[in-house]
Order: sequence, then C-alpha cells, then structure tokens
Amino acid sequence: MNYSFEAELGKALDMMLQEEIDEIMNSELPEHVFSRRHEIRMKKLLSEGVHTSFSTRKAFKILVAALLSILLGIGVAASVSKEFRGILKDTVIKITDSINAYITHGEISSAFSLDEDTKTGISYTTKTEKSEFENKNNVFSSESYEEKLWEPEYLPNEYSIVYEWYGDLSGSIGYTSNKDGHTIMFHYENIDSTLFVNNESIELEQFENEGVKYFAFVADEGSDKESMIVWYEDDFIFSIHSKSDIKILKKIAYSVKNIK
Amino acid sequence: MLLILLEMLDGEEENIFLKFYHENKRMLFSVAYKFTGSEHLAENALQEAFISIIKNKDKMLLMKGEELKRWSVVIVKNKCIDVMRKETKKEEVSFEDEKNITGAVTEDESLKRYEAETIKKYLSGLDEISKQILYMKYLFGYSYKEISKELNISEKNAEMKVYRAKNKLKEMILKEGIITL
Repeated sequence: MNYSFEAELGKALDMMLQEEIDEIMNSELPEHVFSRRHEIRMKKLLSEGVHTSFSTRKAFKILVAALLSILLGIGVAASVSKEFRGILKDTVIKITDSINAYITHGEISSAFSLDEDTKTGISYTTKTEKSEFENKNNVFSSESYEEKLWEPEYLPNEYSIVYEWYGDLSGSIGYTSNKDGHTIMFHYENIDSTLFVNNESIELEQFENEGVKYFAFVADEGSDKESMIVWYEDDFIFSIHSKSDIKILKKIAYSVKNIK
Repeated sequence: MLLILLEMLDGEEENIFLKFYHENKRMLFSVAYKFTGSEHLAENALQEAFISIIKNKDKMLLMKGEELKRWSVVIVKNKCIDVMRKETKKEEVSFEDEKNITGAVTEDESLKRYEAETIKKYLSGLDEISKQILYMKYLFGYSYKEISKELNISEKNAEMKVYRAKNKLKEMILKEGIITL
C-alpha cells in the first residue's frame, strides 16, 4: 500500500477543521446583532457579487444558446423548402432579437444610478453639466431594502402623496400641493452612489439641527428653479427639492424619521 | 433546444451567495469573533471573506454542504488574520517572524508510520497561519498562485510558506516521535 504523508496530512486537516466547526456549532453562538452598516455592506456586496460573478457565465450561456439556435436554424433551413427557409430565417432573427433584448435588459437593470436619478425626479444626471455636491472632502453618495425606511413626519395640510417608490435601501416620495400645484420630492439613498446637484445661480446655505448638518440650495424667489435641501445621516443621504418655500422644506427635512 | 439552454440561465444560481450567507453568517461570525475577540473586526473579516468567496466562485460552485462550510471557515480565518494585521499595523507579523527551521529531519521516509489521526495531534500545536496555509494547500488543493492571491503575497513567498509550515509540522512530529519512542 502506497503511503503518502500529504494524503494523510489532508485527512488530518479535514478532521481538525471539522472538529473546530463542531466545537463552534456545539457551543453557544454569541448573541450578536449585526450592525446596520455590516448588513448594508453585505447586502450590497452579495447583490453585486451575484450580478458580476454570474454575468459572464450567463452571457456565455446566452451566446451558446444563440449560436446553437442559429446553427440549428441554418441546418434545418438548408434541408427543407425555400418557403420554410424563409420562415426559419425569420424565427432565428426573432430568437436572436429576444436574446439581445435579454442581454440589454440585464445591462439596464444594473445601471442603478441612472435609473435612480430618472425615477427620483432628480434631473441633474449629466456629470458634465452639473457640479458635484460635496461636503468638505466627502462626496455624498448612496445605495439600498425594498421597503420604506425613512419618511417625513411633517407635511403641510395641502400636500398629498402622489408618488412613492422604494428600492434597495432607497426611496422616493412625491407630494403635490392642492393649492398651487407645487411638487415636493423627498428622496433617500444609502451612501454608495453619488448625488449631483445643480448649484448654478443658486445660493448655498448651511445650517444645523439636532447635530445634523443640512445644505440648502436656495433658488431665488420667483425663479423657475427648485430649492433643494441635502443632508447626510446614519449612512443615508437625503434630499428634498421643490419650488415651494424653503421654510416648508426645512420643516419637512427636520421631521424625517427612520420608521424601521 | 433554445428553451433548454435558456433554462440553464435560471435556477438557483443567483441565490447561492445569499442563501449561503444567511445560513452561515452566525457560525462564520462566531469563527471570526473567536479569532479576533472583537465584534467589529469579526464583521470586517466576514465582509472581506465574502469578497474572497465571491472572487473564488468557481471553487465555491464545485463544493457542497460541509465541504463548502469548511472552506468558508478557512477563508474567514484568513481574513481574520488580515484584519488583525491591519489593526495592529504590523506587517507580516506571524509569517516573517517565524524562525528558520534548522536541523530538522524532513525526509518523508521518516514519517511513513504517521497516520492522519496522529498527524492531527501535532497539527493542533501549529500556529494559526501555518494551519491556514496547510488547509489551503493540502485540504482544498490551492495552487501556490491561489494561495498568493488569497494572502496577498508573491507566489514564491506562498511556496516558501507552504514549505515552512509543512516542515514545521514534520519537525514537531519527528521531535516528539523520537522522545516518545
């Protein structure tokens, strides 16, 4: 019988590792509540990991599927009548288009930041046209549960909700005034994407409330620009923008509470 | 055929990481906490470990059940070493501070009588880093290149560390063996 020290070593390591795991599993696992930061990071990491790690595999499978379909189509078409060849050609084109659509859809769904900007009504999406909002050296940015996490407790009577959207650790609520038709958009995101603010011809104010620093981009009265308040709290970035009075926006901003 | 092939795209592939994380996070946290003694460092190690696990998805997908669990424990412990090293800001502490092994009889011939059960007793006397190296090389079949990536060291260095760890074990076995015989 051939003896191999390395093979025995492998067995020994296997036994040792298993004993170690058994010991951990048999002992009382520490009552640990994972920090919110950890859970957010893990959620992001795992979702990105899933997306990036399997996309190549998927793309490969799609390509194989497409190639085989085309080959199959050509093969069959060549062996049947001219009429059938035409039909098969159309079918292959349709299949290829479907596959292309599938791939494209996958790419679009991964383009999170673009989607977010579009959905939230923050129209400042073109980097070249906009200045990046920064708090000293920190660029405000964000990420996301598909449930409402934050909500303003205060809302003027004449406003009612007209739009709600909740993504992965992000959300948007739109309100409209019954009086003047002004809309207020409230938006929150976690800290992994960047928020751009158009601050051209807009005055920047900085103020503080209960230890939170707020930045207000106040539009001139009567101008067609919107005012915006941005702040950062508990790993989230928040924004409220509207043509409504900045005082109302401030009151709403101060009233935003975590509801989870 | 297309339908069959497209079916391959679906299934549970995408849930593997999430499922694995949720099923094992407490156990893996316990491993990390036991190693680092700090909840904060343990969470950091867990995050780093999953980055590594995702990077090594091909390896992961070949494993199932207990093997996967054992592998992830090794990864978590590697990352514990990393985060602790960063925390103490000491470079290559345990790796580089190892004394050179001299005078040991390291011929495999001399070790022929040692079975896994016996070797295991001596393994427990090794330092954590040596054990980690041996786990990767001899339990999970990592190449030197893979070890070097996992530990952020050069391939040559990885090879040397495997050699040292193995030699250290052999030295312990033979030394003890001579005494007890």
